[in-house]
Amino acid sequence: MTKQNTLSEKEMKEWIAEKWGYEKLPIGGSVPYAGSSEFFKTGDWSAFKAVVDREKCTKCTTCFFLCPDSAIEMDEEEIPVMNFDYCKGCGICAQECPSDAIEMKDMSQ
Amino acid sequence: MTKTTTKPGKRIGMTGDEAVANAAAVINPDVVAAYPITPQTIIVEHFSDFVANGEVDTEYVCVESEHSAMSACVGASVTGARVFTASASQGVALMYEILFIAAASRLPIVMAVANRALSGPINIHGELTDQTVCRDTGWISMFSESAQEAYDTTFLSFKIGETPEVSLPVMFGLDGFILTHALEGVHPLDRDFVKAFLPDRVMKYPTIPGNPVSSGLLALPDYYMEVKYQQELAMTAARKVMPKVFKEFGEITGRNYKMVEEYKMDGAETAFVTMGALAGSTKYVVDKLRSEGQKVGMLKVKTFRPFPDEEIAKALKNVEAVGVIDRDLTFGSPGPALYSDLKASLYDYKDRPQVFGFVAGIGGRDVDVKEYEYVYKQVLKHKGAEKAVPIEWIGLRK
Amino acid sequence: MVSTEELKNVKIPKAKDLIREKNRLAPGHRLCPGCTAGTIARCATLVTDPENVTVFHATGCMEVATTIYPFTAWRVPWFHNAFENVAATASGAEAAYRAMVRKGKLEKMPDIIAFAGDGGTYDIGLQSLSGALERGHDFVYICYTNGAYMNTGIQRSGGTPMYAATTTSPAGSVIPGKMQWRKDLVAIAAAHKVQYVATASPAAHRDMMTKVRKALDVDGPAFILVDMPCPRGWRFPEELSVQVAQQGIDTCYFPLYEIYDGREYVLSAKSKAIANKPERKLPIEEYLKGQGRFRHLFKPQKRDDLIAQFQAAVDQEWDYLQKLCNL
Repeated sequence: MTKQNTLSEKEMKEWIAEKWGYEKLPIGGSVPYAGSSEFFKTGDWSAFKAVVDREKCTKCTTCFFLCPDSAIEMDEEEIPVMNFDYCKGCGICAQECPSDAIEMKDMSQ
Repeated sequence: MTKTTTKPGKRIGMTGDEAVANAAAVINPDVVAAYPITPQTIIVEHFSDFVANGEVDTEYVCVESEHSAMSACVGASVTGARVFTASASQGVALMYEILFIAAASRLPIVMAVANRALSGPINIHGELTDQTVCRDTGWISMFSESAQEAYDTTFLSFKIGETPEVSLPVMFGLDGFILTHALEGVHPLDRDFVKAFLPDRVMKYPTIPGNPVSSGLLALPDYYMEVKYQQELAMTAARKVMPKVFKEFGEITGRNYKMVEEYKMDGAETAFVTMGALAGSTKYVVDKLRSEGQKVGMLKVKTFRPFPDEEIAKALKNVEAVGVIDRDLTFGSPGPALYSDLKASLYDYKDRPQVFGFVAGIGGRDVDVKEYEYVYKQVLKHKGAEKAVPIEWIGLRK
Repeated sequence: MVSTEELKNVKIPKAKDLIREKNRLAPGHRLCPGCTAGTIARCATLVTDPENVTVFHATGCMEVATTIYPFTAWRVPWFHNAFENVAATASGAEAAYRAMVRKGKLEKMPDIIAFAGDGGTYDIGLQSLSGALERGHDFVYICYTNGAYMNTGIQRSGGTPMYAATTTSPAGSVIPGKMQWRKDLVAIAAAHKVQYVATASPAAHRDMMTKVRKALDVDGPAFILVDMPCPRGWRFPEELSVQVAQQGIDTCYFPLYEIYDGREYVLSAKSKAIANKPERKLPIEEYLKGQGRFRHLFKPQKRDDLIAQFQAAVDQEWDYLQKLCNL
């Protein structure tokens, strides 16, 4: 199936910035856009961020699956890259990493 | 067997419930999700026969309650499917919460309501309250006077609801037992008619695989009002769309429905106003009174939501007094549903009649000719009254 | 139709392939930090084809936090109706898709997931769930249980553990929290004799994903109960969510198992390991002492009597489960 009738990124950004009213809002309270939550940076929630020690990482991929916030992506070497725009500093990845390769650091320091 | 005939002009005997089931079968919706309740049961039973005999392509979901019936209808309708259901009384009350969601999600679900009194006490007979209390849900709401009208309104409802600028669910009523179970002659329609009159439904943002739309989000105070206002605009659009749809239907079938039907209103000084099956008997009484030289007419309000205030005001412009007969209840209010909405909407018009309210036929009680004539006499008596006249319950035993 | 034998052998892609998939749940949602609802939603949808899945959701933490208008974290089609009716809603959609497939408007039936918390399932949503399971609609109901109506402020549900403090079953000077044992929702689901019922946990993420895929492959209804430790409601540090889930498994309070056809019980790896080596089973006190909702069992005085009752109930269930698994 092909995507039908969804807004473009430009339109979605406009919607948020202009705070559309009843004339422009899509019918029925629908949001025809995939993942518009990306425009809300939850990284602001905490100064703590997950920092990876690439040497210690054993590429087990556990952190990728556990991160509740889709804030971890794996690079070409299968080592996690944390997205600080969204990392809430919860610390699950650091806690669960079997090789202690992740540390929660206070980035405001 | 679906009741249809190729003989033009030939009527087939159907009860109101059978008529609605037949109409639904001819329309052949994608999904029907329903739960039985007297006096709607014949609709779902009859439709089940069509399903079991392969006469319809409908996915029929025998849900476990009316709340789930409307929930399943909503789930089906968000995919863009054409959806039908039916209920009554307690069933409508049980699905009440979801009715608001169906309208807010702009889903053109069609529901037949076998109008029945609400408990308590429990009563299975004809009364319009189960539907009038839904006037705030955002659904388009219509009533029927006969099995033919209930049959026709099934088709009309889909057409109106699915019109893009409307996109609202539609409920239409037929008085419990009086219409649902009484046999009348109905001119049937067929699938060729449906092909011409009812094009496929088109939904702007359907919940279908590959289409990343989210619907039903949490709207905080900064957005809720704007989304809700769109519903009001949809009702405004319905006011324009409905007469056009009625007209188109009339051109094909010869049966011309109106938001408000005027009956013998020429030169009428007094008028009855009512909805549903009572309209049929009221017409009979108007004929009788007219033959006795009375200058009286009646208005049958077919469309309750959107409320046809302009049409009513125009029809009653030169009328001195009206007796509104409500077959529905509400308590501690300015008056029952039709009476209050009518009176409130007429307030701003310069030329308007005095309005007197009557409650009749509650819990399925018969309203006979004498009682209509009594209403007429009361209206004449109250005409010109300077003090407010309380609502009168007809045929009430002390 | 998928046979039970085929179902048992369902495999999911390797981790190194799954990590290349684009998340079906986008970042930027507003779940509490450390809330494994995000983990569960991500993992469950990661094993679906994003072009052929639709998600229905009951009101609750996961639903509210991921969809604050106009921000939606869902990159797949998603619909929320009301609180108690996600199973009925999914039923209607499933019927509609069936009609569309028959009419040639849809190529094939999509995977349908209904997400709901214990709030929208154990109590108010039970009728709707039962109806959908009984009618045999082709969908998966994933109930993530954090043992309370968390979204509205930690009120007691049928899934709340015995002696847990919630705002409507507080631990007072007379009554020590909720007095009833939790409802056995898994048994209720299994009683409908659907082909697949399972429990899962974010502490066993691959097991969880495999179970979701199995459930989706069932040609009919399937039900999964997923443990969802809640840092706010259970009162523990947010980085320990997965640890707490692991404790649930280790104490056998939340054992991992599958039920095929309503009668064939199979323990999953982590719980099987404990059945094989009973000395691995941790005392329930280990689970209780780390959570603030059980604080009153330890302070101002240790309630060994209540802890013992809790342990007895856990043991009874664990023994019974092993019997069902023919162990």
